[in-house]
Amino acid sequence: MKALYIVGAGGFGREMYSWLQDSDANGKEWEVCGFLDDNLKALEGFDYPVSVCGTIADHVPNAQNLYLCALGDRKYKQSLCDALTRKGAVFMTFVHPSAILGKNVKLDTGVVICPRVTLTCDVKVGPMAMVNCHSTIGHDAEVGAWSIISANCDLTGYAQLGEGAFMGSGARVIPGKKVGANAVVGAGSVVIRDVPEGTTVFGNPARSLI
Amino acid sequence: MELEALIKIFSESLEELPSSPIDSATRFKDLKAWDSLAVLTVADSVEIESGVLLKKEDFLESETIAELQALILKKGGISKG
Repeated sequence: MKALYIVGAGGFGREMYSWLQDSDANGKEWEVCGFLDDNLKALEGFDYPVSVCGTIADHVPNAQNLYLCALGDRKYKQSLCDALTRKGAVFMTFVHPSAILGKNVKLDTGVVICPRVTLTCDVKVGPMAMVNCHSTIGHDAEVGAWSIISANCDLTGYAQLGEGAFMGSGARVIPGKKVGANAVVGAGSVVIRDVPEGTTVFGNPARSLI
Repeated sequence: MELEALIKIFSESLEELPSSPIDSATRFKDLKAWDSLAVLTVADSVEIESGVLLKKEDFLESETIAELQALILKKGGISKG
């Protein structure tokens, strides 16, 4: 059985600890042995049976370990996880048992699918992307690598979320629209037109803030 | 707001482009792709470009893109382009 490290002991890391307990693989294929976080005191004041085992920077992976990315901050997520991968870390893909996956849903390495997410059909989710609770991804939609979809979002049919893009809680993208790489869609926003790369949009209809 | 800018907004706002090019005489309500989302997208784009907030009645009063442009100008719309 592999030892699973949760990378990031912040709020999302603690959520991930909870969701991992629901998996059939828990205790059979892997077991959570602890968190990695550059803040060694990240779990102070919280009641968890495992602790922060060390910093991400100092950790030395081995073949008996698995890793799950629970870093919610898109600024640091890629650089920290890439550093671990270069040292040999293997990130696992996690799908909570309550998620609904239709036909031809393709999840790449390191993807995290949280409880009650629905991925309808012919959906592609790129490496290390994260989809938080209750979000829905429509048919033929594409979710880029390293992107983050917060809770209660709706990425509708044929919509595309670019690499490293972020959808805030409750955001929606109407069918066929493209959110560019590293763009940010503010919480509750409704995207009705394509969002250029690196742009932050907000509101309903969503408009650029700059 | 320049006519060309408004035509560009219409072209970018429609999910499916019509078989013939959009021009000032285009009766936008006859376009197959003219739906509630197109209205919203055009209205929002016009507000961003010219500062004029179009209302439902404005779309009902206008038949062609040229008529809608005249209405935008009447409301004081300026081109930011």
